[in-house]
Amino acid sequence: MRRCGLLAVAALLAACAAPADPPSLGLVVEDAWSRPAPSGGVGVVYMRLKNEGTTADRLLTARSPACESVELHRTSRDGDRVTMAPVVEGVELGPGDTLVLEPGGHHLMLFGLRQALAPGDRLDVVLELERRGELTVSSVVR
Amino acid sequence: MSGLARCGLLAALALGVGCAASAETFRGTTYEEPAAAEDFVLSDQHGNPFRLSEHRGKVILLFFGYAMCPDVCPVTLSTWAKVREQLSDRADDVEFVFVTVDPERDTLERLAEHLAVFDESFIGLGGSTEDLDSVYEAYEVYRNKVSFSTSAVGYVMDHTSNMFVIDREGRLRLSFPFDSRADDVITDIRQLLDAP
Repeated sequence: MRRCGLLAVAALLAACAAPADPPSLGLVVEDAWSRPAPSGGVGVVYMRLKNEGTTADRLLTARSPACESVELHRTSRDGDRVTMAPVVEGVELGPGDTLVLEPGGHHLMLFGLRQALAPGDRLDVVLELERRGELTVSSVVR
Repeated sequence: MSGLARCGLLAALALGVGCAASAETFRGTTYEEPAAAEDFVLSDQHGNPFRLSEHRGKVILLFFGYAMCPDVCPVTLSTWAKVREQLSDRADDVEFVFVTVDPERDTLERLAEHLAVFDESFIGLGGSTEDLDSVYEAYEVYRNKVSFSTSAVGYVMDHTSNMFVIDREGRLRLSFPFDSRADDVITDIRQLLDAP
């Protein structure tokens, strides 16, 4: 009897030690969109990424079959001057946080587009998250 | 009517007359003493010379950006596309001019491909380093190359992001932040087009 209890506790502990959230659990993506762009050029993906789960996570980077590579970047402004830089450390996304990828701020930059992006097109983007792993998002061009 | 009410009415009338007689009110930032926009000659994306002063009579929107810029420059180009569409019958009285700040990568062909995504009528300008440098200087355009060796971007160009507006007499009149609303830009353009 006692052994059964110990086993149950061990099982519970094992469950707790395992990653708490399966991929995408509690992560909500809203309004993923891209701008038109020429074939071979650079593109962009914006969205709101909400963490409605109970576990913190971190957006590290992304990839897409629509292009050769994807990087997380951030634009900042200083008066009328703008600058852009890769965000190599990713962005923390605590429980309840919303990461807004938007013009003039964080964004996913697409390199080497395999074909032109025209209004109405859709492209898949696979977000890479530190804890939850991968999450595929469909972005609409507009 | 009491004396006080009469005074109030007179004051309101005076204010109304004052407003009606005042100069245009613009939504963009105005230059206090509009001066002639510095003339220049560069090459457009089709390889033809573009001399600014030959475009007098039109309102010109001028922006300095580059094709590898995925975020800020397309904001302005998208706004321009909306502005041009909504100006409808006045659209041909306005020219949209995009000068590269990245001549190293922005060939004329690349500028053509990039701008065509937004509107075929947009004018993309490039040129020799010397010619471009004198334009940057004349319009006080900041540009700075920042390398990121581990990124696919290679380098980015920090740059001035305001758009400039030149009136039909060739004077530099207004500037707007890159993320201004199309409605605000259209309102000011219409004022400039309708000015006697």
